Amino acid sequence: MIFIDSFVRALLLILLLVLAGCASYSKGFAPIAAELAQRDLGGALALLDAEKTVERNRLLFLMNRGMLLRMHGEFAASNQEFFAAKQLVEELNALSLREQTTALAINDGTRSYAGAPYEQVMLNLYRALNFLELGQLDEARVEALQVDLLLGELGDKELGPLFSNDPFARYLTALIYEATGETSNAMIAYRSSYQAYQEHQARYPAPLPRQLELDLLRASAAVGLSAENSEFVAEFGIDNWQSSEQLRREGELVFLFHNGLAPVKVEESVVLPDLPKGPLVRIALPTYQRRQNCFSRARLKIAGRIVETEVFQNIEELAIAELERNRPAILARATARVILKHQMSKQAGKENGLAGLLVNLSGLLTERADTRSWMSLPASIQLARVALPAGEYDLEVELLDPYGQLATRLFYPAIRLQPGEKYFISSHEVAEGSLLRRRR
Amino acid sequence: MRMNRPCALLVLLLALLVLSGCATQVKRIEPDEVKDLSGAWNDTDSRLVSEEMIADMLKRPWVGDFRAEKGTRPAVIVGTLRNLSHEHINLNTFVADVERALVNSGRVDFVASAEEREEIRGERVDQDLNAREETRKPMGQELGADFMLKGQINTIIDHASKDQVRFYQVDLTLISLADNRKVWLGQKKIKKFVKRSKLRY
Repeated sequence: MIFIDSFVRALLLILLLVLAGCASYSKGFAPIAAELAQRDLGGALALLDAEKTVERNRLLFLMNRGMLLRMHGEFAASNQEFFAAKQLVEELNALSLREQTTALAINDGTRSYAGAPYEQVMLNLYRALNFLELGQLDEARVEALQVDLLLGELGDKELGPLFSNDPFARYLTALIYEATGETSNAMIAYRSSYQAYQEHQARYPAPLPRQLELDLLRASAAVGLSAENSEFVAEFGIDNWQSSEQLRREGELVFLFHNGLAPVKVEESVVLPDLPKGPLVRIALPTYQRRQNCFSRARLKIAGRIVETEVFQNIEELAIAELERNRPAILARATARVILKHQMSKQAGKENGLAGLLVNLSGLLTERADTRSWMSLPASIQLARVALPAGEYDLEVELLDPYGQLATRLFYPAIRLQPGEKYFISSHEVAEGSLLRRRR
Repeated sequence: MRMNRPCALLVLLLALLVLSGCATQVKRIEPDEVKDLSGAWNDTDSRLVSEEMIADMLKRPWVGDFRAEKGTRPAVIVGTLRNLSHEHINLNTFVADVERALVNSGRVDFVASAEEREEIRGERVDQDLNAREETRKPMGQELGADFMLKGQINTIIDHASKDQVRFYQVDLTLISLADNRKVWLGQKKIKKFVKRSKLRY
């Protein structure tokens, strides 16, 4: 009997080792990412649609589908998916006791995925960007108001400053207000963005974009906040900027560079086989792996001007910070699960040794980390603004590698800039090398 | 394995109960029945606003004043209606309601909007080439509007955890094209308290 027991235990260990290479949610995205790196968006969409999505992962499907359609230039269709995703988030915001119980008995991945706070914010932002690229400014403004509401609600949940204020959300809101001619609202949003950068800087490197410094100077001067304006002048050391009136007489190109892909959640597990006579214990926790950054920034060449993009949103760092914030809760649930599964197998083992082992086995096999996240998000969002007299322009964009060398060229011919209007262009580039993981 | 009769019946009944939750159910309801689902702007809000606006617009003196002065019915055009709210609202339904009620009242003429005019003009150009002389409609005979209807919808939303107070304010303004005078201001406010569920299945 003792021989059989140790034999089964050895078998269990081997099984667990095999299992470690077994598919988790995040691995399922790899083929789609590979298609994206090949710039085959049709292929990526076909792969996504062919996947069998279980109901609990529906949000991820909608978010990924919306993102792929967007990358394909189908902004209206993309917004339909994002809208469905937002409605689903709203529904999933209520707590399900049934799912919580299952999560405690099996694993966290059995719950419906409701999106991390930063992902919910990004849903609104990408909807706003889709509307901006469709030229529907008032609809984009609706999204800006909704983001404000969402951030307020996240603030109520007391998740910390990283999730109740978002520098890029505030910045995009300011851009929208500036485009609709609401100067004072724009100033308030620029100021909130500035505050958000300061709050985020405490947690990860989030340098204040120089563009935002110029915007703060322009907006504060435009609404007549002269004291605040002179503080900004002293702080940023800039005393020359384009005034609001000058900007309104010109057209403005707003170029957004969505760089690569967000980090990947992987499973890290620990097995404790050496408890004398006791059942095996396994704890599996999710952890993020950063992807390789193939591009550092984009360089815009338009009408003899050369402008480089700056990082406005570091999604990579936000994702990692979010998991870090959540870790105590994940660990607590995992510990509770270990105890529950241990009790169950002990109970079964009292009645029948083999039954105890089987319960132990199923408990070990089902202990998986929840590796779900919105993986088609970029690692970072970069932005550059160029104001030019009204007219038609050809835009050339050079994507630079981490050493500042030219990696890829993009062309956008015949961009028509109208006085007082903003023209939004987005480019989301995934290079083949960015599929590689990078250790911290 | 054979099941006895009551047991089989019970299984059947249970299966039916489970299945009944799967089929799509459709129940027809009257267009004016109030059915609030999410708390967002819906058909009832649109109807309430248009009814109130129309009633108010027609009983105000601007129509009579214009007739007394010019001897004709005022011609109105719909300008931009801006949605400045927190929601994506389709303003077309209540603009159509307002337009229909005013035209049918026989006291106001409505001029086609800028977008519609383009299409009509295209048709006239086509007539110029292809239609018979006596049926051809000449250009330059359009009715110029006397007033433009403009408006916006604003919201204020207050929230605490899962509860929300949603306040909508719709403002419509009728502006005289001759001298920029505002001849009528309509306003409708709607306030809702939305309590969202804390639990789900």
